[in-house]
Amino acid sequence: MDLNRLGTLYPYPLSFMRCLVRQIMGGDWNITRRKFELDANGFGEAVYEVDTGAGGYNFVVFSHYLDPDSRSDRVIAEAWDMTATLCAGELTQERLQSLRDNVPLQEAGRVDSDCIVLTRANKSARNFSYVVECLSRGEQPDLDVIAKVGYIFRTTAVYGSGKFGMADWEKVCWRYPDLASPFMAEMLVCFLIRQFSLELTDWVAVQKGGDKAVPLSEDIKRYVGIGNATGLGMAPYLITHPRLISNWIHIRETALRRVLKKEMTPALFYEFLATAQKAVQHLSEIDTDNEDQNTLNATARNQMSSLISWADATQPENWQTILEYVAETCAFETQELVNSILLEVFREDIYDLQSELGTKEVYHLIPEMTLSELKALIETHYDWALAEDYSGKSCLDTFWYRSEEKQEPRLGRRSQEPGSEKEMLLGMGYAAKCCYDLISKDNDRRSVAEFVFDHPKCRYIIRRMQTMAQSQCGEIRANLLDADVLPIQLLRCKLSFFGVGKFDPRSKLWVRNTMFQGAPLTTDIGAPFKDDWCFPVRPDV
Amino acid sequence: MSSGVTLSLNELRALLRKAFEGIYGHDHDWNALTDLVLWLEFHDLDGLKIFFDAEPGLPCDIPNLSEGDNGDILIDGKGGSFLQFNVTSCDLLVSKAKTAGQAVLHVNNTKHVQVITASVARCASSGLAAAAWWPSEENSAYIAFQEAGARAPNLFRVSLPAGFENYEGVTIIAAPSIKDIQTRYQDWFQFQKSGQTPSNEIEERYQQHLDHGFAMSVDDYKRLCHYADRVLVEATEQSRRGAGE
Repeated sequence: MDLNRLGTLYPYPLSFMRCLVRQIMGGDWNITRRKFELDANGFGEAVYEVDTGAGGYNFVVFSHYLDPDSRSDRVIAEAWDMTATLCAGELTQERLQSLRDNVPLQEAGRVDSDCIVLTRANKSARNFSYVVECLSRGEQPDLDVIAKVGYIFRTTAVYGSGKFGMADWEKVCWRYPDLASPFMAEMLVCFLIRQFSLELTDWVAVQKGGDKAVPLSEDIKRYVGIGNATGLGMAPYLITHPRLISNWIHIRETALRRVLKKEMTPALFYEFLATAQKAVQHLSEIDTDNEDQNTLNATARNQMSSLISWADATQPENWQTILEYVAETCAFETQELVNSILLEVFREDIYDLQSELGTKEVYHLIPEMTLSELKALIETHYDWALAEDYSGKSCLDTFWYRSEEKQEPRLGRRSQEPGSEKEMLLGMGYAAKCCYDLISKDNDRRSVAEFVFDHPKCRYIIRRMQTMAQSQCGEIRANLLDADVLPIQLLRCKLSFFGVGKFDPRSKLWVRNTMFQGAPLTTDIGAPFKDDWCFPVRPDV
Repeated sequence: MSSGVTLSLNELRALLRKAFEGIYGHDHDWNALTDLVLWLEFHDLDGLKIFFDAEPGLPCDIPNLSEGDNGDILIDGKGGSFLQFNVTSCDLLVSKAKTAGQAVLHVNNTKHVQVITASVARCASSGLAAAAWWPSEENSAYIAFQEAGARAPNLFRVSLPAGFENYEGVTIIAAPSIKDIQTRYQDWFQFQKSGQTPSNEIEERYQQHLDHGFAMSVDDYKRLCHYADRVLVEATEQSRRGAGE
């Protein structure tokens, strides 16, 4: 659970996007466009009906004119190119009007309790205009231009779990079980925004070019993903949901252990090499201005190429030998990439683990535990927190807080900025250490209950530690209060579980990325599906 | 939003957490306090009303803890709200009952004693039976009891006979079964009972909230937001840079 390693994870077949697409392609799903009332510039309303076989939903889209000067990916933005909601229940005229009045307002609006996700997205101004221009002239766009960004729209927020009056997660599990896997509804919305962005582009091109216009080719459409801008808002989630994150990591490790026991047949070995080769190409096609990310990608690419040469030459007898070679010669980044490739090769053998990804985020205090037992527990399971040196000037200089501007999570420097008295409780390592120091001064034979009666501030961290000590993987191990903390590692960890692979860090605080690149389209539903759209590469067109 | 506002349960939970965080900073288990208020609210025991009533006096002093001659746990609440120290008091009760087989807790000199009902439920979810009683107005009292593992407590109003007029504070006892409690405190179980809320009604009410949201007045909503907003930090140019460009 070292954050330096978690920050190098790659998507794998149980990442949520992959789970969703398997569900869409493998069952009784149908996605139908029911309404597409847009003007020549693409502004207006659209409704997509999603029939999962077990339930029906509407994806309601409002497409707006946006002053280019107002286009911002920040939470504090107040206008967007498109806003949308995924909702259950009947879409009456009255309800549609209510959505029309509220969805475009996003955080400032209220929606009903049958709405499941609220979202917004902005155009990649460059790509949208360019693709429309090409299509309206009857030409397909240059893939070099498409590849540079990889999407036409990018989401800037995807809200679920009861925000702004929407259905609680508990209600989703109860009423809409077909969407009751972690982030399933949120991923579905991103998939649908991508679909809308493609259909909008074709529509505006036809309005502009008339008979000359052509639709974007299906191969290019599959290569177009949905962009995403992820900032600090996602980071606290990982810290406030330690059981869930521990479970996700545990499932990934379980899958890997299972795969390592599999026999290495020649066919599987060559599939491994082919997937590795595809991953190398995927990495070589990532376009980012971020020097650190470029270095990471180049290192992973070079080390992967060396691995392929070595494996081809030595023909290892089992998968463990490959992992041992990688552990000895490669960086974390490459090690995790190889793990993902192995899991891809054996994806069908791990699908059953998908049902275990959810868990309840509850921590029960064990009040009868003695302080000596609690001390031993902390020494065993939070040794990483006790080993950290918090005495240096910079060790506690970062504080996390919510701004009065839309409650946007932000980082501050304790030594330079006001507001640290209102910091969020995210420094779990430091909280564990402080609690341990207090316990050490107390009577070993006292119970936890007696201790927390005198020190109620320790109650939360104690019940959290008691609970996490029973989990398979425990807490994320990092001092999030250090001046040099890299929140981007937290973002990447979570995004990898979403299924995001192309990272374009814009700073250490936020990252642009591409989702669903290479995934099937709604027109592919019903066609044979191999679930092999990992590590998307440019199509041959 | 003219007559009221409907919140999802997660929204209500988040607002309460922030409100408690605003009151206590990191000096209390505000997640547990939030769960306590919500539990009371969803069981028709005025969780939010108690919170609004208690808030001006929070945080209150840490109460005095002592042990009675018979080993009972005694707490002097120093006049503060039981909302603040209910959770940590219940920790003491559960801890002692688990190690000694049975435990009794008396709390005096405190406000909002009805909060103890949540402790009865917590004991039941910890594998213990529990019963609690506290005085109401005019020779009457409330009694709440719940078997280990049962879904919701039984809550009754009882008429107090002569000899019990000066009963003060709140008492809760945790033991392996209700029978063990009845043996020691048989009087309380023999008083005339009325006004029970069936547990299936409590469950239905919760599901209604889950399905359609929790309706509250605009005034209450604004009040809650006002408390919750205390955790927010003023925005400056420097702070804006703390979230990316």
